[in-house]
Amino acid sequence: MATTLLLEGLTKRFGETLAVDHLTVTIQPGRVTGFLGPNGAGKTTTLRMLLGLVRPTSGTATFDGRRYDELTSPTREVGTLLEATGFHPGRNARDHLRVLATAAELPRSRVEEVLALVGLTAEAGRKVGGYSLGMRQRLGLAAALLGDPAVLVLDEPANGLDPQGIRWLRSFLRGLAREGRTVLVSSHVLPEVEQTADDVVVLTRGRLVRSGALTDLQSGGGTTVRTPDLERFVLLLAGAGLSARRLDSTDVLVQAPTAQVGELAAQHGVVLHQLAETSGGLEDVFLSLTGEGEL
Amino acid sequence: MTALVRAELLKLRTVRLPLWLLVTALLLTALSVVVTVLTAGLEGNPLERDDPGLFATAVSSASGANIVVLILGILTLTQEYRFGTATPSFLVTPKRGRVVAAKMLAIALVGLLYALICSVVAVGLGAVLIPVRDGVVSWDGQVFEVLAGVVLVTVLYGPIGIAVGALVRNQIAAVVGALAWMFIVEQLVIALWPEVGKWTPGGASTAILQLGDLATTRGDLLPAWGGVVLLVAYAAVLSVVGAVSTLRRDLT
Repeated sequence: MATTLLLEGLTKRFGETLAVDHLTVTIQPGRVTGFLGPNGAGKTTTLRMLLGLVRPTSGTATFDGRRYDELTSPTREVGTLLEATGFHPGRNARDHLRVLATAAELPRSRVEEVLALVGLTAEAGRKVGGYSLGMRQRLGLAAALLGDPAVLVLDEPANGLDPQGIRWLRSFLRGLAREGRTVLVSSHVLPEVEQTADDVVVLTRGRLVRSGALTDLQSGGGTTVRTPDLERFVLLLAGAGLSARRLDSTDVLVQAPTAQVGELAAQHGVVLHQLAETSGGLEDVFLSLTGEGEL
Repeated sequence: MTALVRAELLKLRTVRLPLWLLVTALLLTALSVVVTVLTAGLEGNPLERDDPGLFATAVSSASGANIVVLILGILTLTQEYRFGTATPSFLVTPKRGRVVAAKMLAIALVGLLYALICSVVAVGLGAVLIPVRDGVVSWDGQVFEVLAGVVLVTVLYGPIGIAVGALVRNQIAAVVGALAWMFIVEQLVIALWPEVGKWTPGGASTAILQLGDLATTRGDLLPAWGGVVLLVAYAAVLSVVGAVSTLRRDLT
């Protein structure tokens, strides 16, 4: 049941643009992994490379060592919901799932099971052209669950869902992870990820900026500092009795007000590239990591 | 592979388009039979009312189904891109060549069905209308050769449509291009340069239907077996090129 996803040096170049740049990360089973990044960070391209829809320029993406196109029965092993996934507007939801089940050689009873699972049974005979965005999302989720897969790769699954739907999705994903499945969810709705994910992978401009447990990323309030002289500044902070935690090679999170940290830097002539107040929520950490105001 | 072909047939059965196109094929067939029978014996038409080949020519009207099957083939593939269903299709079957092959087999089966239905209508309508116009309905060998030709041509044009759709991908461009090719380019080439025209898919189809100078004054055509070989070759080459181009493209 447990499948580990491994991205190794995954790179995609579209002409001049480096969409994904040597991304190496491991996605663990039994956990919900949030895949975060601003729009255009390369999340969807990464997921599409993982699923064999886009050919990587270099690097590999594997499920327990096998590429997606090497899986013996992909639908039974990996369930997917992608943003650009389409439906023929003139086909009804039940038939859409029946087509997929037929191609994947799954029993027809599975179609009714997943329709019930996402609460679409009553609407299954209607043409998808008349579906709301939320209903399409549910249908996409039903398709992802058809093969009862050990891995779920979901691109922005909360899109278009109403608050009840989002709450349902949250507990649903947590339940799937508890069963030992590997759940990879991309999102730009940070509070959503904060409440669902165990691990996070943060991507900016195609580069990995952070991966690890969500709790490691969250922290108490304080000040994030970016300085080219991190080694010296960390010693100064320690000397001043301030508790600090390094975020990466240039950033440090200090448990102190901005004014105090800024004064300390000025006294010792430390060059700062950034000095920002953080409430300690994922959003602040995220913004300080990606250096962008918009997700 | 059987499961994939069944899935492709289910795709075709669960939307309206194939039914509407079948109705179109039937209307084209009926119209062509009526025109053939009504114009027989008119001045300038080499076909006389009592010509033993009249019935065979009328029956050959069913071959008009090939255009409709070609369009169905094109739409079957281009709609996967237009509606984004190519993504789930290729996720279920990452070996894309298998999806394209399944589509070609499925459309060949649909083409067979269209050809049979249109043939029945053409035979029935011809058998009723020709006596009304004091003509002769002759059930000679030629009628059966024409019927076999209708089936063969219609079955082969479906996979060609899939291949054209895979190569062009833009729905409107593919359909308009195919229609312009069949109705304008091929007709002109066959009429003006028959020695070139006989090598086009349209020339091959006409050769397969074995009507020769009975139906047209287009000049020399390949022998029927030559037409079969040529049309099969077109279908095979286009299929390989179409499948390979589908295989290699990123689906973003």
